[in-house]
Amino acid sequence: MPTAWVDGVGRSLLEPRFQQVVPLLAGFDDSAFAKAARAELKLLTPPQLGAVHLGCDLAEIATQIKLVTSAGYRSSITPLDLIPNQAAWCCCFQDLTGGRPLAPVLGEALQQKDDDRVRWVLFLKVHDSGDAAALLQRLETKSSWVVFLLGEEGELNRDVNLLAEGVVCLMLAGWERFCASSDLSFEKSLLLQGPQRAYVLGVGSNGIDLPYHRDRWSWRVAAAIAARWRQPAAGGAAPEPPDAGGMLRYMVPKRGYTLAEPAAGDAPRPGLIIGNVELDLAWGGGGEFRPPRAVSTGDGMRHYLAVVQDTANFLRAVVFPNTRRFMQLQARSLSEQAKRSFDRQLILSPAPEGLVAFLRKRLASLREPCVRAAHVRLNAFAGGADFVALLAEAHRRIEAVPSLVSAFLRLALIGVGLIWLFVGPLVWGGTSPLDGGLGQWVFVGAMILLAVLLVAVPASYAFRMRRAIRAMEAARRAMIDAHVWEVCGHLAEQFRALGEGLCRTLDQKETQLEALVRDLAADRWQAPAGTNQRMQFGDGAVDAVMTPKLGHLIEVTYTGFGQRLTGDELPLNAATWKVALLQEAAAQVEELLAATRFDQFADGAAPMFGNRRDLLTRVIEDARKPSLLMDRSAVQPPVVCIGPPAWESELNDLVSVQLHFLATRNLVAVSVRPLDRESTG
Amino acid sequence: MIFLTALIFTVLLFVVPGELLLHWLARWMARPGLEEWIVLLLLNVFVFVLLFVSVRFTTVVIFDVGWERGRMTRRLAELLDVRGWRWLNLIGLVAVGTGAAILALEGRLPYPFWFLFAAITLGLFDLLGVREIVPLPAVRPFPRFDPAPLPAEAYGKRVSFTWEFWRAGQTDRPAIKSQEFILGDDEYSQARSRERFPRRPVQEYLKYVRLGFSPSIQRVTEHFRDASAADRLSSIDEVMNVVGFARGIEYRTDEETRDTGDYANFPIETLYDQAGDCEDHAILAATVLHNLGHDVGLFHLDLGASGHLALGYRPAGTTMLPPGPFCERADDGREYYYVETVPTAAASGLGEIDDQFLRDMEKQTVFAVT
Repeated sequence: MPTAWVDGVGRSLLEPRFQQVVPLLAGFDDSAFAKAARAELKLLTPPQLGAVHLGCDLAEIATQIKLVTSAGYRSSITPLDLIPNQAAWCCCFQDLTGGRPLAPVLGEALQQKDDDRVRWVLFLKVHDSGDAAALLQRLETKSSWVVFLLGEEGELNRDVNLLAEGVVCLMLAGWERFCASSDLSFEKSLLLQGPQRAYVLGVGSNGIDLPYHRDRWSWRVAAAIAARWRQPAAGGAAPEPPDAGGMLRYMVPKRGYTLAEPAAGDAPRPGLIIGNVELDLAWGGGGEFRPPRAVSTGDGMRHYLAVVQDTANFLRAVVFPNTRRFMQLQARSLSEQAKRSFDRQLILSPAPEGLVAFLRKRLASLREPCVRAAHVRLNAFAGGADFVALLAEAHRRIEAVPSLVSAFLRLALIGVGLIWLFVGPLVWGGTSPLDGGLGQWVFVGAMILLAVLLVAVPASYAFRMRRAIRAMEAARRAMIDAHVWEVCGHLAEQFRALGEGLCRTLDQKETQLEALVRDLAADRWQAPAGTNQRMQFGDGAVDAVMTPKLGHLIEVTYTGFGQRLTGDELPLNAATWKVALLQEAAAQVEELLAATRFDQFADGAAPMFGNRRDLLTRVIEDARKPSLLMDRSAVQPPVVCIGPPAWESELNDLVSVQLHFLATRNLVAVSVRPLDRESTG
Repeated sequence: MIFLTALIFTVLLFVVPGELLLHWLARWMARPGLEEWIVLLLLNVFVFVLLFVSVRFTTVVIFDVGWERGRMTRRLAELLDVRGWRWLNLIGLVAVGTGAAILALEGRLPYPFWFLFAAITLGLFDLLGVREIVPLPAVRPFPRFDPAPLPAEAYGKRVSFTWEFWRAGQTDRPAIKSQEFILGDDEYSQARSRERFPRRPVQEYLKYVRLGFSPSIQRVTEHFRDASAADRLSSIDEVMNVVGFARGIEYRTDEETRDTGDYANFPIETLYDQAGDCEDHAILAATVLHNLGHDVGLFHLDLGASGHLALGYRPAGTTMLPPGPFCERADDGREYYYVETVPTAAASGLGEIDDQFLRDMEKQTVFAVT
């Protein structure tokens, strides 16, 4: 708690008002009283005095004495310095009630001759002075010892926390006054009176009941935050949902395959439809067939077709299994990534208002691509042509390509025959075929036919060659299409399974969120009944201070709540949320309460008590009631009041009351009354 | 053959023209009772038959007996093939026949030309012949060693191997293959006495592949090429056969076989001992496949604390293939598939890397055998 208090309110009070000090050793036994005192000392010790306020177990006090009286200690407390020729304060806190003996280390110290390097200041919790009888008997010869007795059952009932708060305040106030004053009077600094070495303390404290108000307010803050969660307004915009197309692309091997939207007018290609988007899968293999240079042979084309056949085998036997395995691995990886992404997306909204709606919106946003993935389907390509049939057809077409050489040889044979129809009779018989009769028509017809055949033969060859090339190209395309279609089928299957798995994950989260909302709404968010132990500061006094800060409390509590839930995954569990929220609210409320000055609570309480002076006089009256049952003399014992400097004006006419500034949360007063052994009960 | 004979006959007698010479001979040989036209007819028939026999004989002697017999015969058959040109033959027959008939009816066709038109008719008359379809060739690379087979090793260790042969894409049941090889004792002794190459860098293992091709390994290599030809195996199936052979050899660590931490074998050592560890299997498979003409390499997996060596394979025949998902680019700039060669790994398909290796792998590198 006190960090804010020390940083804020008490900074000016903690600035050392002195440069020279005496070491302050504090030894504690293991009693509740000593533990409370130890905690209080830790609370009130500013960091810059850490080297001179040394707390330890009582058994170790001798070691600490050696430390502070060693030659090197002075340099270790720089920039502070030691007051020359002054003994260290050795303050011991022990509970002697129930017949506990004095700590051995104190017994040994008592046995020894007084050491001018140490002053012993004992704060002993006792039931009555008889608990410390042996000690008290020896004190008369111990000028460097002083004992303060205190108990829980004096004129007022005081708990150990109040006692510890009082004694630590007395010790620190005394130590500071000793270090700061010029006369260096140990007795004056601790309000000692005359040669008396034993005193009874009275402690009064005024402040709020911190646990009670912390609990009350933490529930109030938690309830306010929970109410804001259920507000309809969604806080913050939903993030851009993951691109299902991008997820699909992630699953496709980067090497060789590309997934892209088809351009308008493209021929149907193997692909997938995701949502309303069609993505075609293309494969980088291929290259169009080029006819072999030797036109008279089908070897080149047959070789090419054999390569196509081998490639198809290789695709089916090697490439597809590897691609399928790759996609399976990618799907697994993508599923894990998507779930991590869900966890990253399912975070608390920046402000508590509309948190539930915010989370619902995010879940809906995440669901969209998953649903699209779960409904991915193959496009209308439907597998394309049958590769085996096309391969056989291409083979037939290749075999149907005629030999051009054969054609020209046949043409030559026919040509010789046709020419000799004319030349034969002319040379051999001496008659011209153009002399008349049918012969001349035979000659003309033969020449025309020869010319037609010379054109028809290459044309026929080119036609058949082109058909063969087209058939091979169709077979090649069918091979690729068959492979890509097979890959598409597996891709769709994997992606669908991925989407369904992610949808199931989101279903679980939605169910959890709705259960959380139900449970939180059903909760009454009321603080368990408690009792205010310090009625001078009622609910109204604290509420007057805290209510204006509710907004801030909600803000910081919500932020802290988010940090408490921070992990790999936002737990959608009402019990976890409630515990985290209440814990954070309690921490924030406690810090705020602790950082609030006594004056502010006093202002809030003023209407009840009339004025601030009443609060002060009550504390002093309480302090003047000794903590052990004893006869009270008429003389009022001196009181040191530890509280905010602003209260100094209220002390003007109060007798034997001094104000000392320490960074305490409460207004504390301690009276120091000499022990009259005769009068103690 | 008839067509070729008719063609040559026509060229010799009616283009050169030799018919004048035959006609002169017929006139000289004519006797009472043996008229000139009959002599000319006999001479023409004789020349035609002579040409036919010559063509047939030449084909048998030059092509059928020669070392290129299959290819050359098929090439010649393709050159003269009538397929696709029957319509041309038919038109020729009709045109030439009609012309000759008209001239003959008008009495303007001298009888020496009867032989010309008869030869043309014979030559063009292969209208009904059916040619068998040439099957698609098996695409296998040319071997990198001299294909002339070595004489069988007479002396050496007889070693029998049995292995499973999974054709590419086959998933039901593998064929069980077995073969006995005779491995030269001297080759083994020479290999054993050779100094080992350092383990690092990893490409040092390539030296075992380059230097490991001995006569015994060549006989093993020839066996696989012969088996591929006999079973009409594709290039991929041939690789699977060799890889199955390598995987059929027992896996034993170097500590077990050589009593030392790391000891790479030349291929003859692995075969002779019938055992080896991962690099020995990979080196053996790479040596055989490289010399069969395949593009292979050594595929190294860096598993952090250890390493693993397997075969890298690039399907050279299937040039249309882009790199697949688990390919790795080698130092020669080409992509190679991972092929497991040890029997202990679960992965057995081309390109399939064992799951455990995939998880542990920090880096993969391929070194091409060149």
